[in-house]
Amino acid sequence: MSDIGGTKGAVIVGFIIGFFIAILLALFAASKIESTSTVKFCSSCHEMKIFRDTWAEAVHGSDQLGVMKAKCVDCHLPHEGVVDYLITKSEAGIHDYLAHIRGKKTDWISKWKNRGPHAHGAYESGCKRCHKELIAPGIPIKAFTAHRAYELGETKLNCIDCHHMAGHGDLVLAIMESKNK
Amino acid sequence: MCLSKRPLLFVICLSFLTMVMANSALAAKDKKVYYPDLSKVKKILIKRGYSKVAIKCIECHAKKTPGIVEDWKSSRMAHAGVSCYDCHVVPKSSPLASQCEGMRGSNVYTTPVVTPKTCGRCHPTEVKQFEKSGHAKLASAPVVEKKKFIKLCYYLEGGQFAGVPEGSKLTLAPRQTGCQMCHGCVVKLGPDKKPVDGWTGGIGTRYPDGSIGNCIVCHNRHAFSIAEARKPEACGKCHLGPDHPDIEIYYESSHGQRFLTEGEHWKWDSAPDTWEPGDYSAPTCATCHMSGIGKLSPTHNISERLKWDLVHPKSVIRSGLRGDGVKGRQLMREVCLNCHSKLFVDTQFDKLDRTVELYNFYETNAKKMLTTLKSKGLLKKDPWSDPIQELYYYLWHHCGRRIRHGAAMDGPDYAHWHGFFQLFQMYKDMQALYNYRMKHNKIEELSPVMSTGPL
Repeated sequence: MSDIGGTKGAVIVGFIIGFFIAILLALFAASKIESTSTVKFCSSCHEMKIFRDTWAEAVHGSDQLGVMKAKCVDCHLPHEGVVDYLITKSEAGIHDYLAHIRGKKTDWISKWKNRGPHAHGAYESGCKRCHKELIAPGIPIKAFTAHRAYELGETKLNCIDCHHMAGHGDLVLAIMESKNK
Repeated sequence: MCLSKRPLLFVICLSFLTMVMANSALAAKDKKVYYPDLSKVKKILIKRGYSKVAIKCIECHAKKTPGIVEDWKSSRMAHAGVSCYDCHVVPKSSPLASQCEGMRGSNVYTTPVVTPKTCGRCHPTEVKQFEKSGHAKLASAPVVEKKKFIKLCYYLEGGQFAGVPEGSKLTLAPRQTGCQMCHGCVVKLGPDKKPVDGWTGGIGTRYPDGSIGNCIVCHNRHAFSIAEARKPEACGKCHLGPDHPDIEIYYESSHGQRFLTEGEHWKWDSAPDTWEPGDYSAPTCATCHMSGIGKLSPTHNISERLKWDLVHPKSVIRSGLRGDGVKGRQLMREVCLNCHSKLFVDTQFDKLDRTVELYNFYETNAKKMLTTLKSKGLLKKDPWSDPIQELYYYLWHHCGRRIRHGAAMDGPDYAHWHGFFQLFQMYKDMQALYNYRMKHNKIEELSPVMSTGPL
């Protein structure tokens, strides 16, 4: 065939090579996304030490035996779709990196005081990945009553508004105590 | 490398491509479909009952404060499994965190002060509605914010003007026994994080954690009975007396008459939003102002179904923080129409509107007298020693309110004998004083008004 080596052939070859390069890049990106989603990565910055320590002691942390461990990204990134996840991850990552190199010091307690009641760093979709059934058989009636307004959509409160100690325990206390040291 | 010449390679590439596309299509679908990932799901056994700490609370308090546990035991809270722990335990970082004797040395922190933030964990809708109402911030505003009232309760009633030293705890007595018990106050915490200078009483109590409102005023602890909150006595605790004899007016009305004679046979404990005509033969305060009735849902915002502000010197249609009067009138009409005809309801509301207009006429003119006298320097600086100012006060605060509330709720004795009948005579007295002062350009020496006022 005289086309081999001609422009038509070159385009096809180009497509095939590009295809494989694209696969390699995609796999590379995926592995980077995975590795930046680990607890080790998130807590590699010193600003995160108190959050890592309080998380380890709290109910979803590494110190708990026999309970599902929740990584940072399980709660602090939205899990409603890959695109949303990736965009939020990139935004948050860039923001945190810039804050880190600027040496920005945050007064968490006064920052949280001025925020509204529903503004916090964690997303409900993370909770719901594991805690799917709030009205499970055998559940005590008080748990049902507590979730009734939520399930009926009568309230805008979300999981963390009531279960605010689930992620980092008494975080406010920990920060106050570390300030006093 | 030409694919068309290598059919096997072509097929492999094509199938690989198809796999990748199919995978991403599936991933997009995954959002909505729930497939339990059995590799990650662990079985969590939930046993009905109380935690060990909660059982400790109950057992100790059954001996120390048996009244509390008996009250709680037969309540719906206990039935739902809500224990002492659920309401009284706070995180250590809370401004209210202290420790009861039994918990000393543990990492469990308790508080005797249960705030709406706690109640709102299970009852978020009710707390949210309540916070918008006149029972929340507006109720405690006079005790906490308004200079006029603060002067009244500490300086005047507290005896400072007569010689009681300023920092003395004696000056707290009028507020603690009076104002605070209905209106609420700011909860001050001592060094042990327990309340000082007065307990949390009053519906508009303001707590250290920022929440406002006292839920147990209407459904008392620890029974938290919905039946109690539906009875007029729950409201009558504060809505009574010479300046707003609301419970007295209710008892005088037909609604109150039926309540007094047949109320013990009514059904009081229906579930929320299911307490309808038939359970009762006449409404109570809660029925019209709060409960679900017909198509209306229950609300803890008691200002929601009101048109007029019948409280302040001049009555205006509610707006802004005090509610939406136009909507309120529509809602109240819907309530009445459950038992009354349209003609009756129209007549009733026309009667009220007419009354408010007439009362406003009197008040406007009375105020004009005061303004004129003030501009001529003919008003005493201390309104409590100035007869014409005292008369004006009783005119709008006592008599005027009795008229408006009596008209709204069909208490004719209050609307008339304690109302309009007194109103025009007080107005005449004001006119006499006004004329004297204008004529002689001076304030008369002695007050003809006795301080208990025309009750």
